[in-house]
Amino acid sequence: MPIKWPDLDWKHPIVVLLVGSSVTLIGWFGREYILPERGSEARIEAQNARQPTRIERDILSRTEVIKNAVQDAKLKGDVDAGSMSNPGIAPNPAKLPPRLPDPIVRAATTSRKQAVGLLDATSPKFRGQTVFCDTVRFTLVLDQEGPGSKPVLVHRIALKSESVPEIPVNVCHVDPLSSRPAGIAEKDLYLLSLRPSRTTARYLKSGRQGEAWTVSPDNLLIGEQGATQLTLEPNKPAMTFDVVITSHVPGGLKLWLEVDYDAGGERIAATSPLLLASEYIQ
Amino acid sequence: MRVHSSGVIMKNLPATFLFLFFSTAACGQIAEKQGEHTADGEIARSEEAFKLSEYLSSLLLGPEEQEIPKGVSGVFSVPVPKPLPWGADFEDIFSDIELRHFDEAAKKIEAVIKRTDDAFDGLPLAVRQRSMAIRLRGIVALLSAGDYVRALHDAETAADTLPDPRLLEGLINVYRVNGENGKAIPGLSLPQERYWHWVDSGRRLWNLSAVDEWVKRGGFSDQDEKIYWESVQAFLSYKRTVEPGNISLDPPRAENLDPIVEKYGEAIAARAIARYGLTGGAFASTLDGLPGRDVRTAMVTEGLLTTAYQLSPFQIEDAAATGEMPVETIADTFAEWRQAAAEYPAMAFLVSTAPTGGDRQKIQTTRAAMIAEVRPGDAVFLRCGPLSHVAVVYVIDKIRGRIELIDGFYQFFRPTHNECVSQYSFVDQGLGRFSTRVEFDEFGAMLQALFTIRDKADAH
Repeated sequence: MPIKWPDLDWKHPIVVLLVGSSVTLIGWFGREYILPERGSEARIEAQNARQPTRIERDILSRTEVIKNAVQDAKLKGDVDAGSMSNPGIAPNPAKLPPRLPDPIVRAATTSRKQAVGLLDATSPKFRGQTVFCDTVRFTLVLDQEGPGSKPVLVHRIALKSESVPEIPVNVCHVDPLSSRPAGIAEKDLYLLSLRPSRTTARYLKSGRQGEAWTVSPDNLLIGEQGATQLTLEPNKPAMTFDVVITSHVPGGLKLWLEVDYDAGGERIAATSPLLLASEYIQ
Repeated sequence: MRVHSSGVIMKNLPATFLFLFFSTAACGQIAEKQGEHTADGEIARSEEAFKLSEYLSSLLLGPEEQEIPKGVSGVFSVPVPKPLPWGADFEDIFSDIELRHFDEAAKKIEAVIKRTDDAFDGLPLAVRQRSMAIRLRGIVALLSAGDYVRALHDAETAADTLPDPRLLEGLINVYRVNGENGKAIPGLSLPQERYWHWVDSGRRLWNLSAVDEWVKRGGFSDQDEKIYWESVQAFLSYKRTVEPGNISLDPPRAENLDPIVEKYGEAIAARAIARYGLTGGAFASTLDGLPGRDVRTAMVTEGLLTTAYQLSPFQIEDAAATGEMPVETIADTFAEWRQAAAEYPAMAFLVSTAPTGGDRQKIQTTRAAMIAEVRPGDAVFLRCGPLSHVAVVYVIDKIRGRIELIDGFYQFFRPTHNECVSQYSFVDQGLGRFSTRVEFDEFGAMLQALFTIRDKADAH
């Protein structure tokens, strides 16, 4: 039976509701099934169109500053504490590895301490920087920095040194009487020793028989027990290692640790250097 | 010098407490157990059994808890580490014994006894732990079955493995009394040669009653040996006054040697100590401001070294547990030496490269001169980077380029741990004690300071 349109009461609330719902349904069906790609893009555009909050703006601006600073430091080749590049790398932009996406690794030393007593009340200084004498102790901190979401593999931690001939040979006077004999009370740390002829490194798990072994000073992660890699997980606490370095090399040395890691490509991080001079022996 | 007895016993031998506690507790149990087997209500026999057990325990263990072991223990002061626990090996065993789970304890004890040397953290520790396990085996036999024959047998085996002065004195008493009263202790075979075996061990640890017996017996190989042991006897003959709670000791004094020196002459007495002693006897120093040693001071140093030798097995620590005793600086430890040495009287000197601050008992010199002055009986402070250590010099063999140290904490010399040491070994010095041998050059490179007992400076 044909509908007699003029017989409908277009102002009746039920008719109004039915017509409105039908239009909405047809529109939704068209977006989702007839023009799906256009629909997604529209949503993304809509999201992007949202203005960042004040806090988000602040974070974005800081991240940009850090990225720029890192890039500048790489180009200059004089990175400071907790940096992401190697102070030994020549500042040749042509040889720099291509810029890789995050994550990046931060290598830093904390709790630097003079590990044996000195006759003088304070540690000697060289150009305003503390010169540690005979033995220095610190904690190596490795962690992911930046908004990376993938684990990072660290496969090399190397001791690097350079002679600093300007530091006088007799700058350090160790006080033998202030020591507290403790035998092998040290646990879970790397012991490194520099001599004129060689550098040695070992890992001390404890004082027990068989619970210490030599490792390579060129890579503390390779030792008699085999090679190992460290995995730095995002959003996890930093990895820390206690390190003690003794110098028997006459004069002063600049020392730092270099960390090689894989974050979608080979990269290098390094700690800021410290100064260590050997005990002056009569 | 006033010494709190409990402190001395703890310092010397923690095990004595345990032995004493368990064995005293065992007496009542033994009487009860033996009483069960007596027919016709023979209370007298039960009491006799109790008395016998108690008597034997007192002979073996010492007459009273407050008694200080005779000999040098606690008399000489050396920088000994704190009393040490017996370690994880025995924690369960002690617990089982306390709970009277004797079968379980016996199984664990046998496991320790049968363990190979390699399973311990070094040979000296293996000997010490095995000796203690054997001793505990006897205690368990005593507690569980009243088997004092087994207890005595195991006490002897433990003493053969690693004798301590208190146990030796107990064994000497058991054998002596058994011979003197004319009655053999039932079930025990106590041959006279075993008595002299224990006397021989005791005199080597400078147990005074053993030295007395040894001198009385005679039979020395030559006159110098006789003079040496007479000197030791004279030196150790100190006065002792027991008061409630503590014991007052007049320590051995250098002057005790005067009658010997008068009798034989200074040169002969010096030769006897040089030949039969451990420290090389008298000598003149080559270092400005540092006196040498005459025979009297040489005997004081002999006592120090013997004490270190005697105590060394009981200082062996599970290095992984606590390390050494990182509480006092070298300067603080020297202050203690200084005070102790003054009582003999003698004088302690500290030789190092550090400034003296005008203190005439501190000698500042070069590293080379310090190395040249090291003598047996000196305590040495060694350091390699962050690792530091104190030991007592036992033997210097400059011809072979070696030095041996009396050292409860030999772990310091492990080349795996200490990059200043290329090799080390243990030298069996008898009586379950070992010295640690290292290369003299490597020792010299680590030497930071030495404590040495010398003549009083104003005496010359």
